[in-house]
Amino acid sequence: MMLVLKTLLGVVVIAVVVLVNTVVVMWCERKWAGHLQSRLGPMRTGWHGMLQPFADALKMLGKEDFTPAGADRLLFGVAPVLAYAPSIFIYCATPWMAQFVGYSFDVGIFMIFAVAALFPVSILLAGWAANNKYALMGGFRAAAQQISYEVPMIMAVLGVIMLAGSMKLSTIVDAQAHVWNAVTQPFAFLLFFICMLAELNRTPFDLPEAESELVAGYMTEFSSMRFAMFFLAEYTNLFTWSLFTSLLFLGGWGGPGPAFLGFVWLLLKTYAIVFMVVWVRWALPRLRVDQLMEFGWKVLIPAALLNMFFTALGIVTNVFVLVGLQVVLLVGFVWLVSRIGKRAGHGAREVAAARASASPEVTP
Amino acid sequence: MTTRSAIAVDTRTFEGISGVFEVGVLGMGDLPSAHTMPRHLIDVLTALKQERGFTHLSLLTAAERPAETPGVKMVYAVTRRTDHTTLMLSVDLPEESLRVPTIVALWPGALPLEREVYDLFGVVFEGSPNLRRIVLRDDFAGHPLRKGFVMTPGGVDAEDLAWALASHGDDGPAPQPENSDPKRTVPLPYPSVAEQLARPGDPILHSQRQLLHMGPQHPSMHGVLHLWLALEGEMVLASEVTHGYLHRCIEKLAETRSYRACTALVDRADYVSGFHTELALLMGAEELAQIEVPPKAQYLRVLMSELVRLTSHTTWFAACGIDVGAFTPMLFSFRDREAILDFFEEITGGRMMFNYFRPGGVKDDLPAGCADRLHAYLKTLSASIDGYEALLTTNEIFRNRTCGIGVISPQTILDFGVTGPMARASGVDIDLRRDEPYAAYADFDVHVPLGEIGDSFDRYAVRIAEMRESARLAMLALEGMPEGDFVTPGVPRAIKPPAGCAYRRVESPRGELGVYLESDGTAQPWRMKIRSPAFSNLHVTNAVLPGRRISDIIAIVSSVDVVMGEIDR
Repeated sequence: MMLVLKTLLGVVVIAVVVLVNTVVVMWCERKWAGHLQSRLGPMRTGWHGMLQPFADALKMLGKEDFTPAGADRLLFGVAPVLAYAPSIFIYCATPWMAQFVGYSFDVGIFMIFAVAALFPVSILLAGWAANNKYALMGGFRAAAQQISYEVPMIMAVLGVIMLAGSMKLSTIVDAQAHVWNAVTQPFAFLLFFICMLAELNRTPFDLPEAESELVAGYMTEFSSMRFAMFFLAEYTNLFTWSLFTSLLFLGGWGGPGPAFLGFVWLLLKTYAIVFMVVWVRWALPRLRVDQLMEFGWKVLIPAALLNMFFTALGIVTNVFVLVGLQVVLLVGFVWLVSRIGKRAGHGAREVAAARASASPEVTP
Repeated sequence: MTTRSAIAVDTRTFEGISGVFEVGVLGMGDLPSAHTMPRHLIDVLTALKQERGFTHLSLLTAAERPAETPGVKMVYAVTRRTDHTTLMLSVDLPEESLRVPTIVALWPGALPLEREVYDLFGVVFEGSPNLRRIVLRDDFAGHPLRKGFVMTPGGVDAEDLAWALASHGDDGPAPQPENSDPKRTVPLPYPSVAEQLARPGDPILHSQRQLLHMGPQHPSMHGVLHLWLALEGEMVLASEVTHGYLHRCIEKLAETRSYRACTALVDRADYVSGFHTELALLMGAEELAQIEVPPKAQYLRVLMSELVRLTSHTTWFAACGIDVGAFTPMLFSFRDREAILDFFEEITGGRMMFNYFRPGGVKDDLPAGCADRLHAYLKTLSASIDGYEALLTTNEIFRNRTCGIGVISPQTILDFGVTGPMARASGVDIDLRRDEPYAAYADFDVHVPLGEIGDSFDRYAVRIAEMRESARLAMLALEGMPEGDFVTPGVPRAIKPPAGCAYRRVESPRGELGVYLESDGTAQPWRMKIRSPAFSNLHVTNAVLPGRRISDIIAIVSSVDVVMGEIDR
């Protein structure tokens, strides 16, 4: 009886913490996007628009719950739930602090990736069920993209697991007590961050919902709370993956001061990652679908394999070799990516020629 | 008018071409013109294109003939790029036989223009591969630009609605009507959507081909553009541009309005650069009515044309960013657009619908102090454009999305009558501001930026360079502004030009924007036709899109800089 009560209490507490953070992430995205674009973002709903996510939710509730003719009604109803459920479910294995964790699995990372892999299924269902060509294309794009980018993502994390010698998240965090994995594994950190953007369907990998091509991708036909479910899932996932990044690479709850400050440190690191994701989104254009796949399979997966090999080399020698090899990988990766861009896109050609012929110095 | 009347009407270019008669100034303004018969039309145009070098089809339209000789007059204008000569050719079609051979074999870009004439005048183009209505709906009865057409007021009835609902299924473009001879049909100059859909999909993948309607309700179709796409997966096999959703009968309405009222009307055609259409219209009207324009007004016209080119290009830049998935550039460029629109509001009273140019000049002088503030603002613009470029030009992803995408060869540019930045991006060195200077452009040294490859990136780079050039020209116009009247005194409110025709062109942000005017001596134009550059530029996408992916469609269409108001009119 006590166990059941304790579990229920835990579920409620974690759900509340996650929901509150989701709302804060939504607000952050709007405000930060606004300031990045030299505007203010929401200002009317509460202090600096703090209540904007609630206003959005109210608006969503008031919308017509629409099911298109010819849709698969069962799947159309299930898909939004299936999208949101794993993003909460994932928290049963996520530690917030040494003492604050749903259930401390020995293979916590494995559990997390297994649950996260459910998300593309829901998107594919959503795209299929809506009986809309744009939605279907968005669904297929999402499935292809998320499956392709999960592979290098898991391989990037393998280096971290090798360093800690465990798949238990709290052990991985404890292993970073002196130096963060972001320092010893900078290349894996970069790989993980790139794959995370793809997993989150965010620019420059937001092809499944590319609004200028596919209207709204798999979400095209969803309205009202069904749409809100996808929306919530998206922002919960954003928070979740940022949380994992800080656990895996930024030392989790480790930081100066008493132990209870660990929660604050973790949130600070998480929101720093959220900020980076938002920044990337509002600064970059979108890749094309074939370029996305090419990047995933021809660049990221070999790079992740190399990362594993070099990390193993570093572990059997010493930490200087480890970090040195990572820096080599980092430089090589940046060079390779810029080469690819140039080859595919005549990068050498400059606008200089066009600009020179309209040079402002010349007067009639 | 000082700029064009200096060119002597040279009719020697017609010498030795059989089938041409009545060479001379057939009430066609100061452009060399000739008259021919439908049966000689192809021979005459072939000779002009292949032997005399008139490679650019500038205008293809029609006008009603006077009541005593009922029928329709076809009007063609062709341009020789080497010496910037333009010829007008007219063909009279009697009422009982409104048929003329198609010239699609000579200029594939004539196809949509002929469809428009068929739609609005009922002229049948023999041998046309795709003679369907283009701006009006397929079941429309009658041809509204004929003078005898009776306009019936009223809204949409239940029958119309049922038709609209029934005809927008996945049935592909409607079949062409039987009024052209299948044996003499010219092949379609690009893959046909219906044919591509009829073929089976990839046998190995067991894929099915599908028809996708992109638009008219689609976030990146620039208003109400509609593409029929034959797809296999994400690959485009054939595409067909459909438009007419923004048709507002501007050319028909102009026939019942005075020239000054027409100025307000044509603002609504190309609604992001209204001054250019106003200018082309008034240049024609002033030529017909022999009205002089004082130098100060000419400078003000140049100033406004360049400023509105800046607002148009900033609008394009915003769309260009959004279409490849970058939202932020839009807010950067709209900040500058707002600043210029504020100046427009101060000078003309309107932010988009200006109605500022008048026969004989402009409506008003610059307000006190405005010139200095405008000049100070334009000086800061170069730094702003650097800011735009920092967001996209050197961005690896943007380059991957645009470089090598939608390459248009100079030959295709000529075939389809593409003009403006699109043509210049393909290395075709044309710019009417420099080639046929109008207003006060003869006083300016216009630099024309050119691209090398003709892909989406070149079109982007050319427009960015044009923005810098426009800011420079606008500053020069402010600096060199002469003193004097801003409008010729004594020009009546309703001008009544003598009977005749005029065809005048300006370089709009989208290319060669012409207005063909025909006067019958009354205060209203007998026929007003806007030669829309975006119309021709858009229809080239039918030939460019096949073989590309869905994402590329967006990158290509956004580099066309589509303004549906101007295309549908």
